Amino acid sequence: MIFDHHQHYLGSTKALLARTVLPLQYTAAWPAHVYLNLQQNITSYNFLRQDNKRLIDQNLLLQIQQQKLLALQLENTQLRALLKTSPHDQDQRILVAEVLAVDADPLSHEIMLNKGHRQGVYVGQPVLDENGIMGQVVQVSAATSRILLITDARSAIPVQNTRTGMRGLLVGTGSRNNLALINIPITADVRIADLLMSSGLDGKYPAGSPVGVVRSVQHKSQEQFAVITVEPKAQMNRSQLVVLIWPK
Amino acid sequence: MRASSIFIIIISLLIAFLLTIIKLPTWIEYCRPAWIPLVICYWILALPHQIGIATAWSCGIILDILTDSILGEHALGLAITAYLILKFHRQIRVFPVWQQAFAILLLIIIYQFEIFWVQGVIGQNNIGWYILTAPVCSFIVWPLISQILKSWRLRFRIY
Repeated sequence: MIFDHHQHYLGSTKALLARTVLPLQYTAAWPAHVYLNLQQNITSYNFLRQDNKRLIDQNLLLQIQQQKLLALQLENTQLRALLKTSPHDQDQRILVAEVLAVDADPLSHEIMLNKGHRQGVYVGQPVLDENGIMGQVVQVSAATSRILLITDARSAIPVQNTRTGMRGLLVGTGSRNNLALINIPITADVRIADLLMSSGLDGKYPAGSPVGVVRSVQHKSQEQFAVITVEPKAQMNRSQLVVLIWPK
Repeated sequence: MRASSIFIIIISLLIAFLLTIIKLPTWIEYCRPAWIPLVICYWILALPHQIGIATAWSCGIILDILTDSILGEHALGLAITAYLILKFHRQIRVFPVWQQAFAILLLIIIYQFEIFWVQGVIGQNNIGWYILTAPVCSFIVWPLISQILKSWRLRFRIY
Protein backbone atom coordinates (compact mmCIF):
# COMPACT_ATOMS: atom_id res chain seq x y z
CA MET A 1 0.00 0.00 0.00
CA ILE A 2 2.79 2.35 0.90
CA PHE A 3 4.52 1.66 -2.40
CA ASP A 4 1.38 2.27 -4.37
CA HIS A 5 0.56 5.51 -2.68
CA HIS A 6 3.94 7.16 -2.42
CA GLN A 7 5.91 5.82 -5.32
CA HIS A 8 3.51 5.13 -8.16
CA TYR A 9 5.76 2.23 -9.14
CA LEU A 10 2.88 -0.13 -9.27
CA GLY A 11 1.03 1.74 -11.99
CA SER A 12 1.98 -0.59 -14.81
CA THR A 13 1.42 -3.67 -12.64
CA LYS A 14 -2.02 -2.40 -11.80
CA ALA A 15 -2.77 -1.79 -15.46
CA LEU A 16 -1.67 -5.31 -16.34
CA LEU A 17 -3.74 -6.86 -13.57
CA ALA A 18 -6.68 -4.66 -14.55
CA ARG A 19 -6.50 -6.25 -17.98
CA THR A 20 -6.78 -9.68 -16.35
CA VAL A 21 -9.92 -8.90 -14.42
CA LEU A 22 -11.57 -7.29 -17.43
CA PRO A 23 -13.69 -10.36 -18.37
CA LEU A 24 -15.13 -10.30 -14.87
CA GLN A 25 -16.11 -6.67 -15.23
CA TYR A 26 -17.65 -7.20 -18.64
CA THR A 27 -19.62 -10.13 -17.25
CA ALA A 28 -20.86 -8.00 -14.36
CA ALA A 29 -21.85 -5.21 -16.73
CA TRP A 30 -23.66 -7.58 -19.08
CA PRO A 31 -27.03 -7.84 -17.23
CA ALA A 32 -27.39 -4.08 -17.06
CA HIS A 33 -26.66 -3.76 -20.77
CA VAL A 34 -29.10 -6.55 -21.63
CA TYR A 35 -31.77 -4.80 -19.58
CA LEU A 36 -31.11 -1.48 -21.31
CA ASN A 37 -31.24 -3.10 -24.75
CA LEU A 38 -34.46 -4.82 -23.84
CA GLN A 39 -35.92 -1.52 -22.68
CA GLN A 40 -34.97 0.07 -25.97
CA ASN A 41 -36.38 -2.76 -28.06
CA ILE A 42 -39.71 -2.95 -26.28
CA THR A 43 -40.81 0.67 -26.48
CA SER A 44 -44.17 1.54 -27.92
CA TYR A 45 -44.54 2.92 -31.41
CA ASN A 46 -46.21 6.06 -30.05
CA PHE A 47 -43.33 6.76 -27.74
CA LEU A 48 -40.88 6.36 -30.61
CA ARG A 49 -42.84 8.77 -32.77
CA GLN A 50 -42.96 11.39 -30.03
CA ASP A 51 -39.29 10.95 -29.23
CA ASN A 52 -38.41 11.22 -32.90
CA LYS A 53 -40.36 14.46 -33.22
CA ARG A 54 -38.69 15.85 -30.11
CA LEU A 55 -35.25 14.98 -31.47
CA ILE A 56 -36.00 16.57 -34.85
CA ASP A 57 -37.10 19.79 -33.12
CA GLN A 58 -34.04 19.77 -30.89
CA ASN A 59 -31.80 19.15 -33.88
CA LEU A 60 -33.32 22.13 -35.70
CA LEU A 61 -32.75 24.41 -32.70
CA LEU A 62 -29.15 23.21 -32.32
CA GLN A 63 -28.41 23.82 -35.98
CA ILE A 64 -29.76 27.35 -35.77
CA GLN A 65 -27.62 27.94 -32.69
CA GLN A 66 -24.63 26.57 -34.53
CA GLN A 67 -25.10 29.09 -37.31
CA LYS A 68 -24.84 31.83 -34.72
CA LEU A 69 -21.81 30.08 -33.27
CA LEU A 70 -19.98 30.15 -36.60
CA ALA A 71 -20.66 33.86 -36.94
CA LEU A 72 -19.40 34.45 -33.40
CA GLN A 73 -16.30 32.37 -34.07
CA LEU A 74 -15.46 34.48 -37.09
CA GLU A 75 -15.96 37.69 -35.14
CA ASN A 76 -13.86 36.30 -32.28
CA THR A 77 -10.98 35.43 -34.61
CA GLN A 78 -11.09 38.90 -36.15
CA LEU A 79 -11.13 40.61 -32.76
CA ARG A 80 -8.26 38.48 -31.52
CA ALA A 81 -6.28 39.33 -34.63
CA LEU A 82 -6.89 43.00 -33.91
CA LEU A 83 -5.64 42.55 -30.36
CA LYS A 84 -2.69 40.53 -31.66
CA THR A 85 -3.44 37.57 -29.37
CA SER A 86 -3.17 33.96 -30.53
CA PRO A 87 -6.33 32.50 -32.09
CA HIS A 88 -8.58 29.93 -30.45
CA ASP A 89 -8.51 26.63 -32.24
CA GLN A 90 -12.08 25.38 -32.16
CA ASP A 91 -11.72 22.02 -33.83
CA GLN A 92 -11.26 19.57 -31.02
CA ARG A 93 -10.82 15.87 -31.39
CA ILE A 94 -13.53 14.04 -29.48
CA LEU A 95 -14.29 10.42 -28.78
CA VAL A 96 -17.63 9.06 -27.70
CA ALA A 97 -17.48 6.33 -25.07
CA GLU A 98 -20.01 4.15 -23.33
CA VAL A 99 -20.15 3.80 -19.56
CA LEU A 100 -19.71 0.21 -18.39
CA ALA A 101 -22.29 -0.58 -15.74
CA VAL A 102 -19.78 -1.63 -13.12
CA ASP A 103 -20.15 -0.21 -9.66
CA ALA A 104 -18.31 -1.47 -6.60
CA ASP A 105 -20.07 0.49 -3.88
CA PRO A 106 -22.20 3.60 -3.61
CA LEU A 107 -19.35 5.50 -2.00
CA SER A 108 -17.00 5.31 -4.95
CA HIS A 109 -17.00 8.18 -7.40
CA GLU A 110 -15.43 6.46 -10.33
CA ILE A 111 -16.90 5.10 -13.54
CA MET A 112 -15.48 2.86 -16.20
CA LEU A 113 -15.57 3.50 -19.91
CA ASN A 114 -15.12 1.10 -22.78
CA LYS A 115 -12.35 3.10 -24.49
CA GLY A 116 -8.71 2.79 -23.56
CA HIS A 117 -5.12 3.03 -24.66
CA ARG A 118 -5.90 1.66 -28.11
CA GLN A 119 -8.17 4.60 -28.88
CA GLY A 120 -5.63 7.10 -27.62
CA VAL A 121 -7.08 7.81 -24.18
CA TYR A 122 -4.50 9.22 -21.76
CA VAL A 123 -4.38 9.83 -18.03
CA GLY A 124 -5.73 13.26 -17.14
CA GLN A 125 -8.00 13.52 -20.14
CA PRO A 126 -11.25 15.42 -19.44
CA VAL A 127 -14.58 13.67 -19.79
CA LEU A 128 -17.86 15.45 -20.47
CA ASP A 129 -21.44 14.42 -20.91
CA GLU A 130 -24.04 16.43 -22.78
CA ASN A 131 -24.72 18.65 -19.77
CA GLY A 132 -21.25 19.45 -18.55
CA ILE A 133 -17.94 18.23 -17.21
CA MET A 134 -17.96 14.82 -15.54
CA GLY A 135 -14.40 14.21 -14.50
CA GLN A 136 -11.01 13.10 -15.73
CA VAL A 137 -9.32 9.85 -16.63
CA VAL A 138 -7.20 8.37 -13.84
CA GLN A 139 -6.31 4.94 -15.15
CA VAL A 140 -6.00 3.63 -18.68
CA SER A 141 -5.88 0.00 -19.76
CA ALA A 142 -5.75 -1.34 -23.28
CA ALA A 143 -9.49 -1.26 -23.90
CA THR A 144 -11.00 0.43 -20.84
CA SER A 145 -10.35 3.41 -18.65
CA ARG A 146 -11.46 4.70 -15.27
CA ILE A 147 -12.80 8.18 -14.71
CA LEU A 148 -12.68 10.06 -11.42
CA LEU A 149 -15.88 12.10 -11.17
CA ILE A 150 -15.75 15.68 -9.99
CA THR A 151 -17.89 14.69 -7.00
CA ASP A 152 -15.04 12.67 -5.47
CA ALA A 153 -13.32 14.26 -2.48
CA ARG A 154 -9.97 14.14 -4.31
CA SER A 155 -11.21 16.12 -7.27
CA ALA A 156 -10.75 19.84 -7.82
CA ILE A 157 -11.55 21.92 -10.89
CA PRO A 158 -10.87 25.65 -11.42
CA VAL A 159 -14.07 27.42 -12.38
CA GLN A 160 -15.29 30.86 -13.34
CA ASN A 161 -18.63 32.44 -12.56
CA THR A 162 -20.37 33.20 -15.86
CA ARG A 163 -22.21 36.15 -14.36
CA THR A 164 -19.36 37.97 -12.63
CA GLY A 165 -16.21 36.45 -14.10
CA MET A 166 -14.86 35.67 -10.63
CA ARG A 167 -12.59 32.63 -10.45
CA GLY A 168 -12.62 29.94 -7.81
CA LEU A 169 -11.87 26.31 -7.08
CA LEU A 170 -14.65 23.75 -7.09
CA VAL A 171 -13.89 20.65 -5.05
CA GLY A 172 -15.82 17.43 -4.60
CA THR A 173 -17.23 16.67 -1.19
CA GLY A 174 -17.83 12.95 -1.55
CA SER A 175 -21.55 13.50 -1.90
CA ARG A 176 -23.26 12.69 -5.20
CA ASN A 177 -25.07 16.00 -5.63
CA ASN A 178 -22.95 18.57 -3.88
CA LEU A 179 -19.70 20.21 -4.75
CA ALA A 180 -18.12 22.97 -2.69
CA LEU A 181 -16.76 26.23 -4.01
CA ILE A 182 -13.89 26.94 -1.65
CA ASN A 183 -11.85 29.95 -0.62
CA ILE A 184 -14.45 32.51 -1.67
CA PRO A 185 -14.40 35.45 0.76
CA ILE A 186 -17.62 36.54 2.40
CA THR A 187 -17.60 39.82 0.54
CA ALA A 188 -17.58 38.20 -2.90
CA ASP A 189 -20.65 38.43 -5.11
CA VAL A 190 -22.07 34.93 -5.53
CA ARG A 191 -25.80 34.28 -5.92
CA ILE A 192 -27.97 31.21 -6.12
CA ALA A 193 -28.42 29.95 -9.71
CA ASP A 194 -25.07 31.30 -10.86
CA LEU A 195 -23.67 29.06 -13.57
CA LEU A 196 -20.06 28.04 -13.07
CA MET A 197 -17.97 27.03 -16.04
CA SER A 198 -14.43 25.71 -16.20
CA SER A 199 -11.81 28.41 -16.53
CA GLY A 200 -9.21 26.21 -18.17
CA LEU A 201 -6.48 27.57 -15.90
CA ASP A 202 -5.22 24.13 -14.95
CA GLY A 203 -4.54 23.13 -18.53
CA LYS A 204 -6.49 19.91 -18.04
CA TYR A 205 -10.15 20.74 -18.37
CA PRO A 206 -11.26 22.68 -21.46
CA ALA A 207 -12.23 26.28 -20.81
CA GLY A 208 -15.85 27.34 -21.07
CA SER A 209 -17.57 24.04 -20.30
CA PRO A 210 -20.43 24.18 -17.78
CA VAL A 211 -19.63 22.53 -14.48
CA GLY A 212 -22.36 23.38 -12.00
CA VAL A 213 -25.01 25.68 -10.68
CA VAL A 214 -24.78 27.39 -7.27
CA ARG A 215 -27.43 26.02 -4.97
CA SER A 216 -26.79 27.75 -1.65
CA VAL A 217 -24.59 30.50 -0.28
CA GLN A 218 -24.13 30.73 3.46
CA HIS A 219 -22.30 33.44 5.33
CA LYS A 220 -21.52 32.25 8.80
CA SER A 221 -20.56 35.05 11.11
CA GLN A 222 -16.90 35.29 12.11
CA GLU A 223 -15.89 33.05 9.20
CA GLN A 224 -13.61 34.38 6.54
CA PHE A 225 -14.96 32.32 3.66
CA ALA A 226 -18.50 31.69 2.48
CA VAL A 227 -19.92 28.16 2.40
CA ILE A 228 -21.17 27.63 -1.13
CA THR A 229 -22.71 24.40 -2.37
CA VAL A 230 -22.88 23.74 -6.07
CA GLU A 231 -24.92 21.16 -7.92
CA PRO A 232 -23.05 19.54 -10.82
CA LYS A 233 -24.67 19.87 -14.22
CA ALA A 234 -23.50 16.53 -15.57
CA GLN A 235 -25.68 13.51 -14.79
CA MET A 236 -23.19 11.46 -12.79
CA ASN A 237 -25.34 8.39 -12.35
CA ARG A 238 -27.47 8.30 -15.43
CA SER A 239 -25.19 9.09 -18.35
CA GLN A 240 -24.66 6.23 -20.71
CA LEU A 241 -22.68 8.02 -23.39
CA VAL A 242 -19.88 10.38 -22.53
CA VAL A 243 -17.34 12.28 -24.56
CA LEU A 244 -13.58 12.29 -24.12
CA ILE A 245 -11.92 15.35 -25.57
CA TRP A 246 -8.42 16.39 -26.46
CA PRO A 247 -8.20 20.02 -25.32
CA LYS A 248 -5.90 22.31 -27.26
CA MET B 1 -7.24 -31.27 -2.51
CA ARG B 2 -9.00 -32.55 -5.56
CA ALA B 3 -9.11 -30.40 -8.67
CA SER B 4 -12.89 -30.37 -8.72
CA SER B 5 -12.97 -28.99 -5.18
CA ILE B 6 -10.66 -26.15 -6.12
CA PHE B 7 -12.85 -25.52 -9.16
CA ILE B 8 -16.01 -25.22 -7.08
CA ILE B 9 -14.35 -22.89 -4.60
CA ILE B 10 -13.08 -20.71 -7.44
CA ILE B 11 -16.54 -20.66 -9.00
CA SER B 12 -18.07 -19.51 -5.71
CA LEU B 13 -15.45 -16.78 -5.41
CA LEU B 14 -16.06 -15.65 -9.00
CA ILE B 15 -19.77 -15.38 -8.35
CA ALA B 16 -19.01 -13.37 -5.21
CA PHE B 17 -16.79 -11.01 -7.26
CA LEU B 18 -19.54 -10.59 -9.83
CA LEU B 19 -22.08 -9.78 -7.15
CA THR B 20 -19.68 -7.28 -5.63
CA ILE B 21 -19.33 -5.22 -8.78
CA ILE B 22 -22.66 -5.65 -10.51
CA LYS B 23 -24.65 -2.44 -10.75
CA LEU B 24 -27.67 -2.35 -8.48
CA PRO B 25 -30.69 -0.05 -8.92
CA THR B 26 -30.42 3.17 -6.93
CA TRP B 27 -33.02 2.23 -4.34
CA ILE B 28 -31.14 -0.89 -3.26
CA GLU B 29 -27.54 0.14 -3.83
CA TYR B 30 -26.86 0.63 -0.12
CA CYS B 31 -28.02 -2.90 0.71
CA ARG B 32 -25.09 -4.73 -0.83
CA PRO B 33 -23.58 -7.31 1.53
CA ALA B 34 -19.83 -7.82 1.57
CA TRP B 35 -19.93 -10.95 -0.59
CA ILE B 36 -16.22 -11.71 -0.76
CA PRO B 37 -15.56 -11.66 3.02
CA LEU B 38 -18.68 -13.79 3.52
CA VAL B 39 -17.62 -16.46 1.04
CA ILE B 40 -14.04 -16.47 2.31
CA CYS B 41 -15.31 -16.82 5.89
CA TYR B 42 -17.46 -19.79 4.93
CA TRP B 43 -14.67 -21.61 3.16
CA ILE B 44 -12.23 -21.00 5.99
CA LEU B 45 -14.74 -22.36 8.49
CA ALA B 46 -15.28 -25.40 6.28
CA LEU B 47 -11.67 -26.07 5.26
CA PRO B 48 -9.39 -24.30 7.73
CA HIS B 49 -6.36 -26.28 6.69
CA GLN B 50 -6.63 -25.61 2.98
CA ILE B 51 -8.10 -22.14 2.67
CA GLY B 52 -6.27 -19.56 4.69
CA ILE B 53 -4.82 -16.10 4.81
CA ALA B 54 -3.02 -16.44 1.48
CA THR B 55 -6.24 -17.10 -0.43
CA ALA B 56 -7.95 -14.24 1.36
CA TRP B 57 -5.09 -11.89 0.57
CA SER B 58 -5.08 -12.76 -3.13
CA CYS B 59 -8.83 -12.27 -3.31
CA GLY B 60 -8.25 -8.92 -1.68
CA ILE B 61 -5.74 -7.95 -4.35
CA ILE B 62 -8.20 -8.91 -7.08
CA LEU B 63 -10.86 -6.86 -5.31
CA ASP B 64 -8.48 -3.88 -5.20
CA ILE B 65 -7.93 -4.14 -8.94
CA LEU B 66 -11.66 -4.39 -9.56
CA THR B 67 -12.51 -1.37 -7.47
CA ASP B 68 -9.44 0.68 -8.36
CA SER B 69 -8.54 1.30 -4.75
CA ILE B 70 -5.02 1.57 -3.47
CA LEU B 71 -3.34 -1.81 -3.91
CA GLY B 72 -3.50 -3.73 -0.67
CA GLU B 73 -6.44 -2.00 1.02
CA HIS B 74 -8.96 -4.80 0.64
CA ALA B 75 -6.15 -7.36 0.77
CA LEU B 76 -5.18 -6.26 4.27
CA GLY B 77 -8.82 -6.20 5.34
CA LEU B 78 -9.48 -9.69 4.06
CA ALA B 79 -6.22 -10.97 5.57
CA ILE B 80 -7.24 -9.61 8.97
CA THR B 81 -10.69 -11.16 8.61
CA ALA B 82 -9.15 -14.50 7.58
CA TYR B 83 -6.73 -14.39 10.50
CA LEU B 84 -9.53 -13.75 12.99
CA ILE B 85 -11.69 -16.51 11.56
CA LEU B 86 -8.78 -18.94 11.60
CA LYS B 87 -7.99 -18.07 15.19
CA PHE B 88 -11.52 -18.75 16.38
CA HIS B 89 -12.69 -21.24 13.80
CA ARG B 90 -13.05 -24.09 16.25
CA GLN B 91 -15.51 -22.09 18.34
CA ILE B 92 -17.37 -20.40 15.52
CA ARG B 93 -17.79 -23.65 13.62
CA VAL B 94 -20.01 -25.17 16.32
CA PHE B 95 -22.13 -22.09 16.85
CA PRO B 96 -25.71 -22.19 15.64
CA VAL B 97 -26.23 -20.22 12.43
CA TRP B 98 -27.67 -17.12 14.06
CA GLN B 99 -24.75 -16.89 16.45
CA GLN B 100 -22.35 -17.33 13.56
CA ALA B 101 -24.15 -14.44 11.90
CA PHE B 102 -23.32 -12.22 14.86
CA ALA B 103 -19.67 -13.24 14.66
CA ILE B 104 -19.76 -12.39 10.95
CA LEU B 105 -21.34 -9.02 11.79
CA LEU B 106 -18.42 -8.23 14.05
CA LEU B 107 -15.88 -9.37 11.48
CA ILE B 108 -17.40 -7.32 8.68
CA ILE B 109 -17.47 -4.28 10.96
CA ILE B 110 -13.74 -4.77 11.58
CA TYR B 111 -13.18 -5.23 7.83
CA GLN B 112 -15.06 -2.04 6.94
CA PHE B 113 -13.27 -0.20 9.71
CA GLU B 114 -9.88 -1.17 8.26
CA ILE B 115 -10.91 -0.08 4.77
CA PHE B 116 -12.17 3.29 5.90
CA TRP B 117 -9.12 3.78 8.07
CA VAL B 118 -6.82 3.22 5.09
CA GLN B 119 -8.95 5.47 2.94
CA GLY B 120 -8.83 8.15 5.61
CA VAL B 121 -5.04 7.92 5.82
CA ILE B 122 -4.59 8.44 2.08
CA GLY B 123 -7.22 11.15 1.89
CA GLN B 124 -9.99 9.29 0.11
CA ASN B 125 -12.60 10.09 2.72
CA ASN B 126 -15.86 9.02 1.14
CA ILE B 127 -18.19 8.46 4.08
CA GLY B 128 -21.77 7.40 3.79
CA TRP B 129 -24.46 5.10 5.13
CA TYR B 130 -22.83 2.19 3.36
CA ILE B 131 -20.42 1.79 6.28
CA LEU B 132 -23.33 0.75 8.49
CA THR B 133 -25.58 -1.02 6.01
CA ALA B 134 -22.87 -3.31 4.62
CA PRO B 135 -22.27 -5.22 7.90
CA VAL B 136 -25.99 -5.38 8.64
CA CYS B 137 -26.80 -6.73 5.18
CA SER B 138 -23.97 -9.23 5.44
CA PHE B 139 -25.39 -10.34 8.79
CA ILE B 140 -28.80 -10.89 7.19
CA VAL B 141 -27.39 -12.74 4.20
CA TRP B 142 -24.97 -15.01 6.08
CA PRO B 143 -27.45 -17.82 6.85
CA LEU B 144 -28.42 -17.96 3.18
CA ILE B 145 -24.83 -18.00 1.97
CA SER B 146 -23.72 -20.59 4.48
CA GLN B 147 -26.61 -22.88 3.52
CA ILE B 148 -26.01 -22.52 -0.21
CA LEU B 149 -22.28 -23.13 0.06
CA LYS B 150 -22.86 -25.99 2.49
CA SER B 151 -25.16 -27.68 -0.02
CA TRP B 152 -22.50 -27.27 -2.71
CA ARG B 153 -19.86 -28.64 -0.37
CA LEU B 154 -21.89 -31.72 0.42
CA ARG B 155 -22.95 -32.26 -3.15
CA PHE B 156 -19.50 -31.99 -4.65
CA ARG B 157 -17.90 -33.66 -1.64
CA ILE B 158 -15.34 -31.03 -0.76
CA TYR B 159 -13.81 -32.05 2.56
